[in-house]
Amino acid sequence: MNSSKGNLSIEDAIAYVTSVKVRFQEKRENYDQFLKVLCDFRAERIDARGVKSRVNELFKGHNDLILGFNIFMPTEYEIKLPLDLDDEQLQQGHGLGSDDALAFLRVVKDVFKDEMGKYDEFLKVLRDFRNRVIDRRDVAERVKEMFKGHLDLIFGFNAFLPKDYQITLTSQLDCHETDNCQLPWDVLGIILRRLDFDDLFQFAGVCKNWRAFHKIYWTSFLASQEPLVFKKLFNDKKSFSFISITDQKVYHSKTINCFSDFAYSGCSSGYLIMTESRNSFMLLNPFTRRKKVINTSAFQVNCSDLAYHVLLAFGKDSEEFVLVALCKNSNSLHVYQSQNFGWVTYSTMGKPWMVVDFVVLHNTIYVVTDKATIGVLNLNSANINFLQLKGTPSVTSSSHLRLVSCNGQLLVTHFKSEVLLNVYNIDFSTMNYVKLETLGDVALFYASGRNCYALSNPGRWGYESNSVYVINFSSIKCRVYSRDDNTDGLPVTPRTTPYLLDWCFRYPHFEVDSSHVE
Amino acid sequence: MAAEKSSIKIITLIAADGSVFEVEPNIVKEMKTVQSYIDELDQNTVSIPLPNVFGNDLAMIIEYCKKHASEEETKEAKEEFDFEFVKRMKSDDKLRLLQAASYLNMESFLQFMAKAIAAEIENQSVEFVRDYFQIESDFTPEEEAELRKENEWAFK
Repeated sequence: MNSSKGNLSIEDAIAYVTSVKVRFQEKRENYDQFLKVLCDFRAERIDARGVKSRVNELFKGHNDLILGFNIFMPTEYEIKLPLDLDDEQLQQGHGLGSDDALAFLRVVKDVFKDEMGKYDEFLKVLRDFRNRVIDRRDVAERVKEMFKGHLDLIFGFNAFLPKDYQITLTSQLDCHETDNCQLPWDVLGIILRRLDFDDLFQFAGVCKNWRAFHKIYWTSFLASQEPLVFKKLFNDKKSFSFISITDQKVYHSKTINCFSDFAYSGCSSGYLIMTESRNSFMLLNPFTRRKKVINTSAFQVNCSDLAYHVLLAFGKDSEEFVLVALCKNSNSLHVYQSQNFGWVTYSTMGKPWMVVDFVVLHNTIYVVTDKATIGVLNLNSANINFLQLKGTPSVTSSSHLRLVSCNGQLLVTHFKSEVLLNVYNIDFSTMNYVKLETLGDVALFYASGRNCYALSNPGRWGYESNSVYVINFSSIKCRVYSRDDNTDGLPVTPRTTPYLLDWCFRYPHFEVDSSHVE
Repeated sequence: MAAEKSSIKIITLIAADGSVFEVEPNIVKEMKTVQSYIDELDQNTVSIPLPNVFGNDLAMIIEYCKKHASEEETKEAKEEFDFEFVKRMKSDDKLRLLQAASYLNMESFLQFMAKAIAAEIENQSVEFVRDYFQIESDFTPEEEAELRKENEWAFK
């Protein structure tokens, strides 16, 4: 151990190693390399000169760390900045040049740009020292106090001090004060992965660092979970949960469970849409924890599960929204616009067709009828403007037609029970129904009798291209249909208590043109 | 362990407080940080300083590794051991072991500790979690109020 300083304390070493780890959080290999250099050096497998070049290379651009490394170096081999000095100069024991001092001052000034008083105080300490008002020991004491919480600055300043007067951090606490005893983000992430939704939100309220991390974690978590499967249990312990097929994990939330007495109708734009006995609709976003309630007097709200086929869309860049609710019993089509707090019931009674599904494409709400005619829902006049399309397929009363907006295209899917018969693309330039031979790099997700969604590039989420994933309410299992070979794929969930499953897509987050909303 | 491919017979781990542990190579198999040094060496004995792990903690980690590396122990015995292992720890022990696991780059032990910690903070208040991790809130009173409002607002 003769190659390192006698006065090196364990705390110094830990503090320094920790700061390196924090700095290279994103580049773990640098940290590992660094540990190796350290070990090699202490085991005398490489000499001081070798260490110097490896540290320089490893910490390029992190001058404070390079200077900080000096705690491990014998005084005569201390690394000096700038680093282009040759070994000869180093061995002659050149101190830091005036350039280095200026560079360090700039760093200090920058760090304390919001606390200029501190910077001035630092300058005063240096002046006092030069004028011999205070000695080196005082300098170390005062600078240590001043730079509390700025480990990098302390190490940087140490580089200017002779070894006997260098600032020593006396305990791990000195280091912890800087970052509030924080666990590294990768470790926090491992803990977070094991928590449920409510706990995740509690996590965000602990401190700023955790809040920042939670935000990133939650965003990337959701991005990796498209779609989740929504599950509502019907036994005496009614509860909601979300199943991640990707993680093979079930997420619960007590907060959402408060609403388990509400009837569930569907999921749209990331909101669960429910009805309750006080004649209202409730929109619940479990991912942002937002809730909207629509008290309704225009008509009697049906409070049984899946009573409505629903679509929720937002105004462009606004909190205003449009809720489209098709009552499955009466076939009446209700549209709510938050802007005028009002429901409009569309005149569909006595018509030779029924609206069966709707979707938003290019800020416009398209509807499809049981006769495969397609129209635009006019939000201003309570009318549906039908398109004149060629090649409209013939359908029967047992057909289920669903609209899907996918990659800027309007798709019409034709299901018979759970089997996908055909997929059409509406070609707006020729106003034609165009039958698709393949889905291409797209997977469809269908909840039998309810909504159909599309996911392009499904491999990203672990799903197969050119496939249809179906949740069947009666048998309660997920199946994979490929249009080529009709194979079963997803694991079957054994049914112990009655429950309801649905696809929960947070995207698309439907937007309608505000000119339509107004 | 004599005629293994590796010629290393004994590995000496030196904890932050200077305490020394001599272990067989299969014990440190999971410690990737340690492993990366061993792989490069070609000696009979290796001594590795671990400046981020204290002796008490290292002793516990080695105990865990010994149990799990053993081929004689049944799966049930290991699970029983895990259960007791966690049970006798205080919360700050768990946090230190978690950090040690992270530093030593021990994937499954890290997961194991994270699971134990997650189980303790499950369904707990923000105050409990702060206390647990010894974190002081750095939110301003205004931000705190806003956070409370946000959480109250949740679905209310």
